[in-house]
Amino acid sequence: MKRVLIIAQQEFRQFALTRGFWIALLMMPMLALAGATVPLVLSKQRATDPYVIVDQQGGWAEIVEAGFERSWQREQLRALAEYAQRWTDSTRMPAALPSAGNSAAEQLAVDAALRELQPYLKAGAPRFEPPRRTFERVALPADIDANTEATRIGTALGPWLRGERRIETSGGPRRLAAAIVIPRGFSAAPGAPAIQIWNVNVTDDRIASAVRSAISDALQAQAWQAHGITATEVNNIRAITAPMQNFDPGKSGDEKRVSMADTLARIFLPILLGFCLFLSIQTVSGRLLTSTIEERSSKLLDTLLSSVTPNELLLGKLLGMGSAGLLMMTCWIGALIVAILVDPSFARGAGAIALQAIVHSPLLLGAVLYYLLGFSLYASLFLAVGCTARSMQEAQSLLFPIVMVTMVPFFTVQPVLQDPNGPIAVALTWIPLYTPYLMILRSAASPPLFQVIGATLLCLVFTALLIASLGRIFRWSLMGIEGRPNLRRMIGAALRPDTAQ
Amino acid sequence: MNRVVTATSLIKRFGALDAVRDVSFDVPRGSICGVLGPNGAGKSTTLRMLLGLIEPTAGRIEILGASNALAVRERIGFLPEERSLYRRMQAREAIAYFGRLKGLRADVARKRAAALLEANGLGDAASRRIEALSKGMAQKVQLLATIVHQPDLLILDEPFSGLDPISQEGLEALLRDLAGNGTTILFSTHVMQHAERLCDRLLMIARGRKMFEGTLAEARATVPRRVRLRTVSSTVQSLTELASVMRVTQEDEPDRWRVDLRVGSDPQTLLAACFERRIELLGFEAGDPSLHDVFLHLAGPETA
Repeated sequence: MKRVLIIAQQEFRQFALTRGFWIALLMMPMLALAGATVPLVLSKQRATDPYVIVDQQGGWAEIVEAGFERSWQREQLRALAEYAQRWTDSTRMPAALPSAGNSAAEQLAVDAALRELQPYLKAGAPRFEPPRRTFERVALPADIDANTEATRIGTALGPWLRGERRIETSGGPRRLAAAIVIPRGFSAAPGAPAIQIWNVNVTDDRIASAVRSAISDALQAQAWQAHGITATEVNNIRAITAPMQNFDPGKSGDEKRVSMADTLARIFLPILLGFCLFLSIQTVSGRLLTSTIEERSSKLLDTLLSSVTPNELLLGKLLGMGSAGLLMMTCWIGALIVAILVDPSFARGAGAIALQAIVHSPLLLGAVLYYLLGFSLYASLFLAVGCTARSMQEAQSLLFPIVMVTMVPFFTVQPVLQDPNGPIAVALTWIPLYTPYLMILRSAASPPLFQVIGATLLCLVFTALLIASLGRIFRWSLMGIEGRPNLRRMIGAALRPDTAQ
Repeated sequence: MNRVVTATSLIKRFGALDAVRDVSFDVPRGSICGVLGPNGAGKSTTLRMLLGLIEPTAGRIEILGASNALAVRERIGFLPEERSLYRRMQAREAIAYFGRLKGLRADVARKRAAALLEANGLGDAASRRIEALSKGMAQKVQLLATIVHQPDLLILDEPFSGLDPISQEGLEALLRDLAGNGTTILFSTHVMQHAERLCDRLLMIARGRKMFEGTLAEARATVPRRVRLRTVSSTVQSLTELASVMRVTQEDEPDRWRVDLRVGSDPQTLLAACFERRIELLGFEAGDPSLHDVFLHLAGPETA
């Protein structure tokens, strides 16, 4: 065991000295940070897009503009709600403060909402900066006839839309983002001419969606009014939703109601932990594979194997690299917890719920246990290939079927999460290769105990047999394989009795 | 004879290839034993079987009293033919690591590593990574990693390959020192001169078969001695009649002869016979056969 620990320590140190280890270690927190901040920064940096409206029918341009205005006000209120969450003293706050989705707050003007917040702002709170307008209406270029046929107007605006000519905006000359042409005779009636949206960037449907939403609302309101129902009544009717609460009889304690933390624990946390497990196993196992091939091709293995048994060497490698992988997972989850603790606004919202879900969930302990099991299993497979292959080319041909098999859990994430105790989930759970992933994905749904214990034991036995056969594969490969190694011959070597351990 | 290694009827087959065919030999304690043979003779395979790195197809091995080298691994040092260490490790760290694998305590391994590096002129390189060392220095570091645990038996596979002449001399001196301190050394080489200078015992292998086992003198005795004569008015007939002569060949000039003696015959016997027959000698040159000659004689010229 002493030699196993020495090798484990060495493997860990060697891996920790590589750039790949630090890249992998920092990658997840960096990606999470980038994912959280980049869209925010980009949205702040994004310039207002100019558009023109040609309303040949009359009356619709104002409706579209009003729709855009409402959308911007909602954005402002959302930003204001985030500002309030971050910079006000929550203990002194009255209950009804503006927040996105709060219909009462939405009706308040932003200035009025800001005045309401003033007495509760913390010392040193910065001035509220409303988000930029997304869209700005600009005048139709003078040399285009607004009364000509709709398609001709769009075609004539081509040079402005393509950026060949610039249009005047409040922020200076810019490329025209879109042109909205509402043709003469437009209505909701079948066969009536349709609104034309002219836009070079067909993947950006923000303007089209906003126009569709504003005009659809107006058309529907007109239809309701024709039946004697006012716009306010329509809005009130639309706001009606069925009150509903989810309960879980399997939940421990008296509180059986399913909270947001429960939802996080059941959906996001298993996905997050499963992803971390997959990523760390792939990173660490990949390194294990390449280092073993390097040692084998450079004959360093001969020196090592004159000092230790193949089993000691392989166990040491598994232990050392497994520790490195565990450290990676700890750092990733730790970074998430630190991010939640450091950012007070995050800590009060979804972050706090996520943290609570992580800390209180049995999944965390389960993740560590199944990480160790999954790592031992997959790393043993990679190690078997590393022991056998004499070059990366040989390893790649051996790895292909193994990697294909290991990818299966990722194609089943959705059906398993939708029905964690369904036939697909149960069947995959009993396949040792997939047990670690499936148990993590299913554990929040309280699978039957016999499945947890049975499948875990089966996986343990399978892993133990795999590790035990590694030594045999290793010795067989060191004897000098004739021709290219393949999976059939590897399995044959693994099953061959061996006495010299 | 106190034996450190006894190999009996070793056979190793790789599929249809007979790499080692019924090879038996002993390595006496404290000896420097050279395993000689051309490339592909089966030297490395034999050493790897001794170390338990590969299993013999048949045969028996006893090494330091054990039937499996792994049981006595802490008393064995092994330097493989292809040198390699962890590239990112520091020289001192690499030596200490292998010392620890051989059972040394961490602090002892570190101290010995530092002392060995210092004693072998690599004190300045102790903290440098292996990848930053020259090839010769890295090879030296690997050798030090092989002997850091002060093994009873040192097995070296082609230890001189890739070394410049000065490093080769340094290695020879180091091996002599180790042998002087009681370490038994078994090394393979295809360069006969190293064996000639170092070994007190030889094992010659060709095409997987043992050709010879014994001391250097015994090896030389297997080859007919050759004497070069310069005489006045001799004939092939008169020289062939001399005692112990097997064959006489005239060389480029009329008075110069190459005389091959019968196996086991001494050139002194020929000299005495010349005096007895009153053959006028202008020159008499008797040299020891080289190991190369011995090997060619035993294995046939096609193996060289």
